[in-house]
Amino acid sequence: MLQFKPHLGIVITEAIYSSIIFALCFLLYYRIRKAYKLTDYRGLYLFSNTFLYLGLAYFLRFIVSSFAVSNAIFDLNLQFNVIKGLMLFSLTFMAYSSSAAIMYLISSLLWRWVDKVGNELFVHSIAILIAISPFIGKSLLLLLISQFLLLLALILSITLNYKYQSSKKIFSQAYIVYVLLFIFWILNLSLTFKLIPSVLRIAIYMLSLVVMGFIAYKILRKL
Amino acid sequence: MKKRDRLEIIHDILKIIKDHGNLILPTPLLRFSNLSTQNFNKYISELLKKGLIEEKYDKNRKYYSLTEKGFEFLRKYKNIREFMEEFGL
Repeated sequence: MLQFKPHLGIVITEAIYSSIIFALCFLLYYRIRKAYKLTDYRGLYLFSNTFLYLGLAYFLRFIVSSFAVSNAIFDLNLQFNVIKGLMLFSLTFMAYSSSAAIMYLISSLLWRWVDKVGNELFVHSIAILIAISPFIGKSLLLLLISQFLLLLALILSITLNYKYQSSKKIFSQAYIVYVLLFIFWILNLSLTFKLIPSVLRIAIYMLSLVVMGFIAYKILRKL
Repeated sequence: MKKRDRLEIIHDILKIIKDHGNLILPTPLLRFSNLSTQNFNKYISELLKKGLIEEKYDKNRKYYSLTEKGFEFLRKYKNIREFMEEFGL
């Protein structure tokens, strides 16, 4: 029977990395949600959900990697099929959760002009459809394409938001943060789909942490 | 004159109450807030429901006063407003 024995160093790094990202995301969610509760402003609600769903994706990643660390340290001898099922569930949930995060970000940028994007049923329906797309198409390619389409939609939303904003500062904090979020997502997506060699894993993690830390700094210094 | 949005109106109402020693009668509040009676009643109901203001009675006269949450709103308003504008929310 095949057994799952990942490299301990890799899974420990993965667990530490995902725990820092989800902690930062939940902190951002908490602070933005506090501002929302005070003002009842829909844009803040949608923006806070971006970090809630991004945090949930990394929380699950943390749970799975912690599980793998326990398996490696305590020699649990888990069968390959068990781990494979867990990984499949984790990948599906991550696809759903990160798609919902990007959809919420798009909604927070466009809700004032386009009613439908602020509709949560619409957000979750699209996210679920993206998450189950590998099962429908029996290939990860559909998932990859839909993720890139979401990225394109995000770029379009940032452009539209900029166009309709009254204060048009090209180097405003918002656009710096959105570009950084975009880089963060591209890096992690590329690693998940093995578009970047695994030897660059640590470098990508370090860069992602710097990017996420900078985003957190930009947001928290205001709220 | 630029049309005020919902948050600006809420801020203005709360600031008027604060600037009047945190106790004001409905009639001067309506006058200073520059709202129609219908809109004024709508906003006051919302502020009461959200716990930003409270009603106080003295000699059968009704006054409005800020709650702790109302003061918190005024303290944080500038930062939240700047945040929303910077992030295009």
